[in-house]
Amino acid sequence: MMRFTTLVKHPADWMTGKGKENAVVITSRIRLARNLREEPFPGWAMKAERKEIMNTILPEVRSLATMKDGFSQELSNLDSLQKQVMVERHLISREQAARSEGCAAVVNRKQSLSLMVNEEDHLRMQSIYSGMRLREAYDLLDSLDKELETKLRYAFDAKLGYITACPTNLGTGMRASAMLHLPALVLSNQINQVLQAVGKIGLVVRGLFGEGTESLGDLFQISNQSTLGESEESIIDRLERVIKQVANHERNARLKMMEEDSDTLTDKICRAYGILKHAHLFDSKEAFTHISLMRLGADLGYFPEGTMQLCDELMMEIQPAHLQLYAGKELEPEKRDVIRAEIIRDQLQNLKPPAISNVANEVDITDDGDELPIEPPID
Amino acid sequence: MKCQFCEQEATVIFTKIVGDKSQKTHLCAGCADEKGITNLDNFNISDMLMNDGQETPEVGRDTLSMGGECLQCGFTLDDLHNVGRLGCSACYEVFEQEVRNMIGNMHKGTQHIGKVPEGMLQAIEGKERVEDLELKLAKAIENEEYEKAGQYKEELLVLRKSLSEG
Repeated sequence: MMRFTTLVKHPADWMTGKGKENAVVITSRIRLARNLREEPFPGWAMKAERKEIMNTILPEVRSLATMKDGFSQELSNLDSLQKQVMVERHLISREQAARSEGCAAVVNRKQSLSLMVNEEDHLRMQSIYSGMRLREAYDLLDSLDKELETKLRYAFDAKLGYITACPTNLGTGMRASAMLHLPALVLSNQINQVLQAVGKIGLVVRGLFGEGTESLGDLFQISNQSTLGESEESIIDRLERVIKQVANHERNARLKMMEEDSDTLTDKICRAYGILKHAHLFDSKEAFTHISLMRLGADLGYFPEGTMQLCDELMMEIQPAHLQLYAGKELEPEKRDVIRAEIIRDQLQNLKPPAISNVANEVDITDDGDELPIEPPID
Repeated sequence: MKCQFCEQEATVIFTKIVGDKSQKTHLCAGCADEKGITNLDNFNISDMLMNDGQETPEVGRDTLSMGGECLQCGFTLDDLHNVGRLGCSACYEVFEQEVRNMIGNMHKGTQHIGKVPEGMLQAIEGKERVEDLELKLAKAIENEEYEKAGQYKEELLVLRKSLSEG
């Protein structure tokens, strides 16, 4: 069984962005909600019932070949800092972090699969990949689900589909989402227009940590709202089409900024680099703002290869729980700002200043540059 | 009482009276502001709010809330109104009408399309076939076609046996 320290020491596959284009679409995620027939849902169950349900589900989950040598813990065995670290890594939800006895988290070795037992539903399973790979993420989770459904008695209804604690998840019980980095749309003030268009066609836009969170570092999550009356495939299709359009808009905005006002853009990126490299205090928000610009610069050729991954790692490491884990103790917010700046300076120590002269020739916008208006796809 | 649009405590009760029917909506201060209810000049928005759900048949509602309790888990209709979630999978049958009203605006449709757990498809088809046969049997008895009825009865027996074994 994998220990917590091992889990934290190794970055998840998606965090290293291995071999996949992830400049705009950073990650793709699929979540499935499942429940046991006739057992009370976690929010309604007594503690003893919850434990019994957990003890039914956990052995089956642990015995799956894909979860071999993974991490598996009852939440009461983790302290609040450890739980928060898992939230920051998107391995458990904020809701799950608030739970303890009778609730559990199981993560595979690559950290591409994570299962929560007794969150809002008896079983919530998630797969996460870097880049635009919703389909692969779904296939991975689907095969795991197929294995589990032969062992657990899922609650299912011919009309309502997979039964969930909240009617908002009925049907497929599936939430598909992608995390996008959209700094150029933010800088060019197009972001609201684009996000509104996405909202109008029944998709949801959220900040970094889902429901009710604000956007940090120009990061946005787009996901499906409806789960009933539409197949998994068609939900993913629709989402994928929209995400590709938004990504195209972002790419065009980047291209336009390079063409029309590269001095302003270069200045922003150089300043972000300078501040990140020398400041002594950073709250999360400010740090994210500058790292976002550096990440944009990395995509546009201002920095050597590997800088984008460095930015992604930084965005993880400077979050409150990761930072306190690094410091080895709990810290007041003011103290965290000092450590945050320290981590950033340390990571950027060997990074050379933006290569301004190279940029113009090196810009490699792979897109065809079509000016796609954001319009609801025709269904 | 919780706000019907979010999880917060409701502090505003909006009552709409049409003819002799009244419909109450519980909201927190934030949602009330957002929906324009606290601003009485803004009637259009509040109209929109009240009309986006299907009209709930008040009668059906009352009957349910009188004896609406899930025997499987003890969840009541009041619980459903308070938390917006259900108690267990059996609740979906007990509060079928309520759920149907809830999901009208929530989803693209009301009929599941997509993945079905292995083995479940046969079970569902089996259940439909049983219902179909029962109907035919009843009709045959009604029409005094006893030979046919005997045949259906036999088929039912075989089908029920195979389903319970599966």
